[in-house]
Amino acid sequence: MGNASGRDEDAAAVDGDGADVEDGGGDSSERDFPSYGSGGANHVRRACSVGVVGGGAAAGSPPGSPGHSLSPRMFVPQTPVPPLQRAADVTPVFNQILMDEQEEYDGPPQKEIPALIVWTLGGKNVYVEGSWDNWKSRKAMQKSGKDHSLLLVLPAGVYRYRFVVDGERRCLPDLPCEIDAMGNAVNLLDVNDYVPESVESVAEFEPPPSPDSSYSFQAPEDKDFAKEPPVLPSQLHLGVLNSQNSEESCARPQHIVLNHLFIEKGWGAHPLVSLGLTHRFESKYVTVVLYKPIER
Amino acid sequence: MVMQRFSWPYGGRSASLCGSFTGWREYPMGLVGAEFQVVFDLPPGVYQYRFLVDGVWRCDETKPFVCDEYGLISNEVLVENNVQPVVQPEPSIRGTNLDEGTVLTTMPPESSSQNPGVQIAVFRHVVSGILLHNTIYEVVPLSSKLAVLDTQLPVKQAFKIMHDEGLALVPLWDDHQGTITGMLTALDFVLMLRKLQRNIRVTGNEELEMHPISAWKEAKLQFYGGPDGAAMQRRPLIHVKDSDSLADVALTIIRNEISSVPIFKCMPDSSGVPFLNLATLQGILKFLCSKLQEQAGGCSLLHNQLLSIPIGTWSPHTGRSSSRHLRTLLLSSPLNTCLDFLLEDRVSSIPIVDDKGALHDVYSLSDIMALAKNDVYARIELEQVTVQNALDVQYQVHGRRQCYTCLQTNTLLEVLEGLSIPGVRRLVVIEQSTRFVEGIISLRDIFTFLLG
Repeated sequence: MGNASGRDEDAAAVDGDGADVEDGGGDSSERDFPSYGSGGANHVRRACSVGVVGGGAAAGSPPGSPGHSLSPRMFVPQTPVPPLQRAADVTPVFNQILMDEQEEYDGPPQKEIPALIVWTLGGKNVYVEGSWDNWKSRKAMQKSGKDHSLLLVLPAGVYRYRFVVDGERRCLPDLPCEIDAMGNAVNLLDVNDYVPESVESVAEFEPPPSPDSSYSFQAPEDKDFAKEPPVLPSQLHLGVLNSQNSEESCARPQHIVLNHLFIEKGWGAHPLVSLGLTHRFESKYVTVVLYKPIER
Repeated sequence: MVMQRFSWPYGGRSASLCGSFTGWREYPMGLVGAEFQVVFDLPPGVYQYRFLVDGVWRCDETKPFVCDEYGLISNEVLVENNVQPVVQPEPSIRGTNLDEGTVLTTMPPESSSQNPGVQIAVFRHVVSGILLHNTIYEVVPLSSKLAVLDTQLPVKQAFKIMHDEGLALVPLWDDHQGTITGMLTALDFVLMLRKLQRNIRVTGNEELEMHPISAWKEAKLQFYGGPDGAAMQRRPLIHVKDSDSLADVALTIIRNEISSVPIFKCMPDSSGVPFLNLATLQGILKFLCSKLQEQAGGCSLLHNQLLSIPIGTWSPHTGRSSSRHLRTLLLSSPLNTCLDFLLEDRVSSIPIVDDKGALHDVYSLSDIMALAKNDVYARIELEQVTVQNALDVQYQVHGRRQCYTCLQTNTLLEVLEGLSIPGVRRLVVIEQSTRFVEGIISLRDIFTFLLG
C-alpha cells in the first residue's frame, strides 16, 4: 500500500523526480482501488504534486520557475480520496481544484533574486506590470534623475512585463521583447542567480621553470647537525619592548609574538625590569609593557 | 506652549504632516496660496517630522534633517520659547480645526531655517546618535602599546620613565590585587615637587629616590586633604568597560575632570591583563569626525564660524561670556605662579604671552615632566624659576614646538579637525595681526558643548 508516512515519495516529488510524478508513483494496485486510512494521506499529497507539474494557475508562473511545492514533513488530513489518475488524464477543472487546495500549504522558501527594472524614456508617472503576479497589479517606479527605476525581488525565471507611462502602455525597444497573443509588445526579464563565465578571459597559467640554482644545495652533513640551535627563533627578535609608545596605532604585530613574555633587565642605570606582552582581544592587539623594580 | 508653523511649498494635490509630536499620525495640511500649511501648539523641544505628499513620504531638503538608525530621513525642528508666536487670525479666515493643531490661512513670514539655535540642536542630535550607538571598543586602535608601572617602583624612576617615554600619565599595576589600581599623572609630579620644595633642605632628594609610588599615593591623601585639614577619601579607580558607549565614556572623563580613563574588558581573557587601553577625548573626537564626514544631513553647523557658536573659554575683551576665566601669564612670571593657577583653576594649560601680550607658547601640566630630565627639579627652586626658564628646559629636551592656534573666523569643522591631530589638546584663539589671545578651546570644551 505504499509508504504510510509519505516522506520518501514526497521528497522525490519535491525534488522533481519526473518519472515518479508523471506515473503518479507507487504500484498499479494503488491506481486501481480507492485507499482509506493512512495511505490516503499519501494520495492527497501526491495529487498535489501532480497539480504543480500541470497547467492551471501555475501557467502564470514563468517557464522554468519552481512551482509551489509542499514540504515533505507537512501534516495532511487523512481523508478518503478517489484513486489517483495519471497526469495526462487529470481534467483542467480537477487540476484547478488541486492547485487551490495546494495554496493552503507553504512550500519551502524559494531563492529570490533582486532584479532592477529601469525606464529611461521620460514621463511623469511611470508604473510597471508583469507576469510575476499574473499582471494583477501595477507598481509605481521611483524617479531618479531622468530615469524611473524599481527593484523587484523575484524567484529565478523569465518574466514578461511592460511599462505604463502617463496612462499609456509602453515597452523599451532596446531591451529583449516579444509580441504577445494580443499583438502587444512586452519586454522580457531573465532573472537568474549565476554569472556566466567567459572562459576566453582566463589567461593560461604558465608556471615559471625552477632556477637551476635551486638544485645545487649540498645535502646537510654531520657538522651541520652538530651546530647549536638558535637561542631564540628569529621571528621573536621583533622589538615589542623597544617599539615607540605612540598615540597613533602601532603596526599590527605578527601572530608569532602573541602571548610571549619579553623581559629586559635594567633600564638605563635603573635596577628594574620591563616585561612586555602582546595579546589579542577580539580583533584588537594590545602590547603592555610593565616596569617593575628588581627586588634587592 | 509655542505655535509652530510647518509648510510644504513644493506643490502636490494633497499633503499631510506627521511627526514625533503627533505620535506619527497623519494630519492634513491646508492649501494657502501655493503652499500647504499647518500650525501646531507645541512645548519647547526638538521634534522630527515628515510630509506625505500625494501618497509619497517627502522631506524638505532646505530645512535641517536627520537620518535615523533605519536609514529613514526626517526633518527636525527646535521649538524655542523665544520664537515669535504665530498670530491667531480672525475666525473668518481660519481653516479646519484639528485635535492637536490648526490649519491657518494667513501666516507671518517664516523665520530663517538657518537659526543657530536649531542648527545646534540638530547637530547635537546627530552627534549624540553617533556617540550613543558606538562603543569605546571601536575607537581603540587596531594595535597599541601601553606602558604600565608597578606600584612598588620608586617615584623617581617612575617619573624618569614617564619623561623618557613621553607619557603624561600612566596606569599603575598592583601585584597584590593583580589589576590596575590607579594612575600616575603629571599632576602627581607637580604636587610632589611642591611638597619636595617645602622640605628639600631637610630631606634632600632621597624622598623621591626611595619611596615607592604606593607610598606617595597614600601620602597624597594626607597632604592634600580638604580645607578643614581632613584627609582626602580614597576613591575607587575610575574606569569604563569596552562595551560602554562613547557618550558614557566622554561624560565619565568630563565629570571626573580627568584626561583619560582606563578601558577594562567586560569579559576576562586568557592574557590575564584586565585592561584594554586608555580612552581619551581626542580618540573619541577623531572617531566622531570620521563619522560626521559620512553623515548627509544635520551637520550645517560644522561650517559656521566660531563667532556664532557658544564654545570655549574667552577673554573679557572679546565680549563673549564663558563659564571659566581665561588667564594668561607673562614669560617672566615665576613657574610657581603658573603651577598655582593650573591647580586653582583646575585647568591643564595656560597661554604664555610676551610683554606686548602676543602669544608665545602654552605651558601645560605635562610640560613639567621635562624637569625630570637629569634631576633638574632637584637643583631648582620653583619660586626663582620663570616660565621662560621652564620652557627653555622643555625646548632643550624636545626642541621648539608648534603652538596650535585658530581664529574666531575659523569654522567648527576646522577646529574639530585641528583638535583631532595627535598631541593637540587645545587650540588658542588669537587675533590674527597682533596674536593677542582671545580665547582657548580645549577638548573638554568641545565635548561639553556637544553633549549639551
